[in-house]
Amino acid sequence: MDQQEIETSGLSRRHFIQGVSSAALAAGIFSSSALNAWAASVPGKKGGTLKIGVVGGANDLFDANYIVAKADQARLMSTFETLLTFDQNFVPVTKDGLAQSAKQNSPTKVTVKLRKGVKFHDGTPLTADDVIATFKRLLDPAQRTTGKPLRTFLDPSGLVKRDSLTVEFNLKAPNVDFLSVLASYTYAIAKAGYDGKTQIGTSAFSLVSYTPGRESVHKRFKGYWDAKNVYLDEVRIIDFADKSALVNALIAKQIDVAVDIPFEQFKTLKSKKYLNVIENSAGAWLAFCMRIDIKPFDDNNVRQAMRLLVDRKQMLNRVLSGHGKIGNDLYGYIDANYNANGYKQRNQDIPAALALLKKSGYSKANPLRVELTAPDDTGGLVLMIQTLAEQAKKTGGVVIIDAKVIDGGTYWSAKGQYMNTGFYSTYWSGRTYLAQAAASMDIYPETKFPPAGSSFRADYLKAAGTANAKKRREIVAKMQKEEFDKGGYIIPFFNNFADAYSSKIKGVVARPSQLNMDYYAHGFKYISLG
Amino acid sequence: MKASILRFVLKRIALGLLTLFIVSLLIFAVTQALPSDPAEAILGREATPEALEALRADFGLDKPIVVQYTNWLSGVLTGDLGTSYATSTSVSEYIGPRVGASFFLLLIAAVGSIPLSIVVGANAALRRDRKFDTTSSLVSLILAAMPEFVVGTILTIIFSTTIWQLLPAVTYLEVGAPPWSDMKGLILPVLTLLIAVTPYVARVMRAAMVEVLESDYVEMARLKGMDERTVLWRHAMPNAVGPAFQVIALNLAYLAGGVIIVERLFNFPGIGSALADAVRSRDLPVIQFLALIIAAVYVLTNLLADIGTVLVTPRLRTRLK
Repeated sequence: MDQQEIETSGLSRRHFIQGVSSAALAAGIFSSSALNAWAASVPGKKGGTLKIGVVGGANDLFDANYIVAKADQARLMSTFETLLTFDQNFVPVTKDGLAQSAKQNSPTKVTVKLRKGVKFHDGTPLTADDVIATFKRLLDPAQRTTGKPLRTFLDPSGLVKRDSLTVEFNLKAPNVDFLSVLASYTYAIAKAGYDGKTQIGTSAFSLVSYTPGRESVHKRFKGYWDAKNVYLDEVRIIDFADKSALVNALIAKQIDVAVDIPFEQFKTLKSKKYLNVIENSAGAWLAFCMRIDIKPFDDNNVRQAMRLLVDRKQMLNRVLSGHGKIGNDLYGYIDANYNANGYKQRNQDIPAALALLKKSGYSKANPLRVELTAPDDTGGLVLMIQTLAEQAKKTGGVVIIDAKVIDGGTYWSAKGQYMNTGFYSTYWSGRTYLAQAAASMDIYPETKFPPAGSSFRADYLKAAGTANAKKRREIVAKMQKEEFDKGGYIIPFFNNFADAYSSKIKGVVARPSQLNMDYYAHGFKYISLG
Repeated sequence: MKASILRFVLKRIALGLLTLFIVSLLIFAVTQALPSDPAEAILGREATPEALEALRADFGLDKPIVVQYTNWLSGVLTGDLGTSYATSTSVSEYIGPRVGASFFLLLIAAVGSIPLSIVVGANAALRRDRKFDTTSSLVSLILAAMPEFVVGTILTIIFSTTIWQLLPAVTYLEVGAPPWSDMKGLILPVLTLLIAVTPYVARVMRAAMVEVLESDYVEMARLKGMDERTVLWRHAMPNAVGPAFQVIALNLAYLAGGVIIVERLFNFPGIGSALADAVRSRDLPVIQFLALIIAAVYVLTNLLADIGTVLVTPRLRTRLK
């Protein structure tokens, strides 16, 4: 994942992506292998209904700016579009976005010009007002959205309409990576006045019907701005209560796509001639959280010892059948500055762990007994805590971990185990380093890191406002050192995710992306049935 | 006799209604005891305090518990089941089609399993200790020992995914379409339910039949020189079916709740998956209504079984006089 930035007049090149024709983009940013991937994926036939199965239920959400589960992602992607999107190097680009151009003028100012002729599903044109309304909704704490991280950098008053197709984002705190923010898929643009209930977007497919817990039906939108890349007539997103039913339905040819297949089934599905499997790594991670302010994890010896207990390779094999990459207690895998200090891989080292624990007074006679919890609704976490509890037995009784599985509704609630106990588990999708640092500090302070007196927060704000890539890397390296030496996360691995689909589907490209099924085919464009 | 049966039925109905009322109270109390409230469950970990407050007010969760319960109860009594928290649609609109679909599934399973189990059980008793009896006993014991999800999974492997690809692996009902629009998709779920219920009833039927066949009155009938067919159908069967009715009723009632697993396995859009979702999201109006329905099925099937037993069992019928 080569993501070198080229300096141009103080701001890095990645922030000058205006006037994008795909050829210009390809020349500048896309690697040649990516170009080949594009060229290799030629969808053919027009028409047909794509049936896509995903685990979901009555609790699914349908919202342009809020998701919890994969079903919600799929529906968001089928109905709404963002200003920018990420390319496979996670550089924000205008391809498939609603912006004609987007420019970071300075660390505190971004100008976005909208494409001409974009229409909402009800026929009204997209204007700057819709963009401003969407971001005001995201900034409104009373609204159910994923806009919380935005509020660090933006106030509603910073949103300025320059003309009917131009919006200016005036930031209250510097953020040289704001174009990436605009490419977040939950910051999709809805029509002004959007209440989260009537789903009118700008995508290639307009919503026909939505029955919670059953399915949603989307039909091709005739007024779509990029109609030449749309092949399907209809998309049906079908809910499955259970993953095995989902996989069975695909094998029995009742659906065309099974989203997020279990890795145990990977080989079986791959071996079937009429199916294809696509695997994606995008820096998503599962982790153990140790609250640095709760006993016994307020003691850094204990935290470091726990990190040394983990047999990461065994855990990766057991939890994900090996489909992932081993982690080193650092996040931001998709960031060019991942592991900026080049730390060696942390491995299981029981003697070193025992030595640290001894310093803090733990022994067989006085063992470290802790409870570790996982919710029953998140794949992998249950197996992860059980594996760690087992691996801790190698300490010969010095560390005893009680692994407890909790009902998801309880676990994630305000008074639940999540964020309220000393030792629990969590999951994240892939983010760049600074975006993740912000999320882990302010939105979900899972470990309560950084501790009082740390310069971590000041460093973060400094890095976010530093345009010079080299200087920023230095600051990031300092932040990572503090986390590597004293942090509260144990990050054993980054998890891949995989989908299986009928081989009659053409146009799916295996490339890194944050979402399943080739970023849900960028709004179910580019793919065809045959 | 008619008046006494009517009085008996009315008494049972009154008791049933009382049961339902107590169930609704219990369910309400239990949902209150759950560690997170619906607003939290729905908003998940992205929840802000402001959004939680707004949602709680929307749901009326800021009102005292007694008020919440009486509001719900008066709603149900006037036919307004409230609004599902999770889907924001009315409970009747959301659950109605699912209730229909589940009942249809249960109906086919019941219609299939009742005669099948009676015939198998009676035959085993008649051919006691012979080949049919030992084989059917063994098979039903094995099947009864297997949980539904194992049965369903094996059936899926055999008929739709691995060995043959003959039948659909899941039931796919288009929204708004009646449950019989995908009969092929119903085969495996129905078969799974049949296998779940039939063995129990067949075994009870066999035991009852064996007992009856050894009774004095059957012997008497035989000694009177009646042919075996008359002995079986006029004298033995009515007395043996009584106990079987009770078991059938319990099994059907169990199915109303136990269908959850089968529905999940075959992605059947019934009340089972809705209930599981509702518990997860603390969707109280849906939980309440579904619990009431399932309890009502219990009450109703037991009532029908009791009436049926009374009517078919000569001893009991005469006692009511």
